Amino acid sequence: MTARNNSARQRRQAFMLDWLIWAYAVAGGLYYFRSSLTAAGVPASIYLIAFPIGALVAWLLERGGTSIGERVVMETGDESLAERASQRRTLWYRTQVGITGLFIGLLTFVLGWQITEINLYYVFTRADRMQNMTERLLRPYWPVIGSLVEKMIETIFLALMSTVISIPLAALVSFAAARNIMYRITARWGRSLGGVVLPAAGAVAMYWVVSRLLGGIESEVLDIALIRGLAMPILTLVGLVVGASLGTRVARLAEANVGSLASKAIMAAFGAGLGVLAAWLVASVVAMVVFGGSWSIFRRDMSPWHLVVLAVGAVAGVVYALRRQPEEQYPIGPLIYGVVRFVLNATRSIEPFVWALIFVTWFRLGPFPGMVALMVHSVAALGKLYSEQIESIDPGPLEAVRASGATELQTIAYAVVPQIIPPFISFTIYRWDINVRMSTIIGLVGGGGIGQMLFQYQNLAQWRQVSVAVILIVAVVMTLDNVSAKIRERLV
Amino acid sequence: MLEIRNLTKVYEGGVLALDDVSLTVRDGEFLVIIGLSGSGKSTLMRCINRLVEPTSGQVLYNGYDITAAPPEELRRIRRKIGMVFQHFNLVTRSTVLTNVLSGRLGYVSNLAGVMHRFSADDLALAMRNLERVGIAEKAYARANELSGGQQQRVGIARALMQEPELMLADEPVSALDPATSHSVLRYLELVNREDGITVMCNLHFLDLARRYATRIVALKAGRLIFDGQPGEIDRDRFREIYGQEAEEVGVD
Repeated sequence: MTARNNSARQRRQAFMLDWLIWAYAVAGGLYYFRSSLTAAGVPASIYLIAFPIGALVAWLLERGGTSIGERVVMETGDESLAERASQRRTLWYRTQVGITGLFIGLLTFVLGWQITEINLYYVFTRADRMQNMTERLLRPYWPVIGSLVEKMIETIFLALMSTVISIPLAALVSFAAARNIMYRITARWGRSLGGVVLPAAGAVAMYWVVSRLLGGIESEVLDIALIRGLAMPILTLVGLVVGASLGTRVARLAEANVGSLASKAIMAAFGAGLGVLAAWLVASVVAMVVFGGSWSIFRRDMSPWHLVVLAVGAVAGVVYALRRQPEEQYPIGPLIYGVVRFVLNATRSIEPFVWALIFVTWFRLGPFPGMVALMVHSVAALGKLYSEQIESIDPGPLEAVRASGATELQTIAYAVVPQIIPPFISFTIYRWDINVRMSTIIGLVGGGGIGQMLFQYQNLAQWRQVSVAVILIVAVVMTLDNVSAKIRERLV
Repeated sequence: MLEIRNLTKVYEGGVLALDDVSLTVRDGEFLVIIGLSGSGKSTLMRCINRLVEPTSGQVLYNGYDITAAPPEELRRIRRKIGMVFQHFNLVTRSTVLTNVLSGRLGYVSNLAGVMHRFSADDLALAMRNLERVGIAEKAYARANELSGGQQQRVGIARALMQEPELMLADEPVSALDPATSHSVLRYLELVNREDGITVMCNLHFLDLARRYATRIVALKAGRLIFDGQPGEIDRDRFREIYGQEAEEVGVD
């Protein structure tokens, strides 16, 4: 049909999509009959057959009319009006797309029914089993309310602290995650390179020095753990800052004598540093996946090879660095944007529950790890919400302030900040609301607050006490919901 | 003052907004640029202070090539070029005074600007400029409480804070009614005559252009098709610029 006019890339995409759909259909069909298949001794690799069959079906159907993939991927712009009209007139259940859609939809629903093990027999025959528990839940044991209120207050403050601490961090991060701000930012290639490589080198160097110096020391009088714990981040930070200022200075040197051998050597050294850093990062990730370990295990088990990896990285880095002139503008902003976005999304997709598990092992049981867990998640979530606000501001004032000769920082202070304060406040209150609700869950893993009590009572099957806790949580969440809605109404 | 040489701008997606435009702006002129919507007037202005990066060509400001200026140098040139916008581009939640002061940012240090710190002189200058455009009593009102004409006057005061040598006005009155249009343009005329600030102004209406311009240029589809005195635009010229179907409508 009309598909002939479309580009090869679109055709390929359409085919891939159709392939995926029909492979899914075949695999789903096999899954439906899995018990009889296992009984017949068919190996699990039978599912692989879905791919060739799916490809075959997709190919056949694409020949015989408009498939779903074509409908989704291909542009309809170049169809003639007559063709469109004729498509309109065909009833949906007569078109291939309609039939396929219906079939896939039904198949998915049936599979879903199977996989979630929906059991209507239990629904209608076992209702009385929960009677005992529900009865107790309906008779709250009020004497425990004193200690529970105490825990509830802990929960509210836990949520408050995590929100308050996350605000400045999220606000800072959100600018780096806003496309309209970051995509304008460029820096000279030399300085970009020096500003990344030397700080990293400085931090690594200081880290190494500290772990060497304080590694073996033991003392009865001094709290070595504290000294080491303090010295490590502080000195690493010092290394970072010193490296950064050094990096800019050296880069300026390279810029001043463009074309000279010294300039090339500096850029090559920077490039080598970057390459080694990148190679180390990539190899570490690969080692984690492949060796189930880390860089150090890779180094131990595959002895000379880690050096080869670093050397290859260094050479690639040198080539990369010398491809540009040191004074050329490099789009460092989009790069930072990408990295920050990635980190935010990764952090946000890990539930506070999991963060709490991590911090509980660090800070021991109690409200503190719970607060930190919520804070980390809040920074990521608020950072994203804030950055979206920044992206949707009116660009007019930015243009005006920029045109007056203001710096980027001044432009942000004058044209961006006034526009984003009301939504920021609104989102922050909303986040506090969310944090109160989440902090009840955090308690389940030892993150303090009322959740911890809820978990204890539930483990002991003390349903009447559980009832009181649940009532308290519901009351607080409802109140907070109302209050925050009122405040936000006022502000926006 | 300004020399534009073979300026071409192709936007991403291949739209040719400016096609080899060359133009010289002389000191003290009130130059009006006319043309249909989409003829490249706004792009031309934005290429001068590089809010839009030109694809090729040069813009020489008193002999200095703006198009090749590094960021620091560009900021120094920008502060000598004031700009007034079609939609005023004020920060509507900030006060009028804050908006006006933001025009001074090019002169203060980075940090002082961020901290909203301005010297007493700058503050006095801001009040003086507000008085000039006749809205000193609104200094502490929020910008969105002002009418359109008043907002545009704030825009002019903000541009005057730069103590500019050149004023770019990008359709400064197309969002305003006829009476307000004249009052705003009269302020531009005033700074042009009294302060000797060269003005480059985009206008839609030919009769406004005839009334205020000392020289008119016309753009059509990104090309410069007319450059001359206001009186030279007769019926044929008009149709050449605005198309055969066009009828001249006026603003009182």
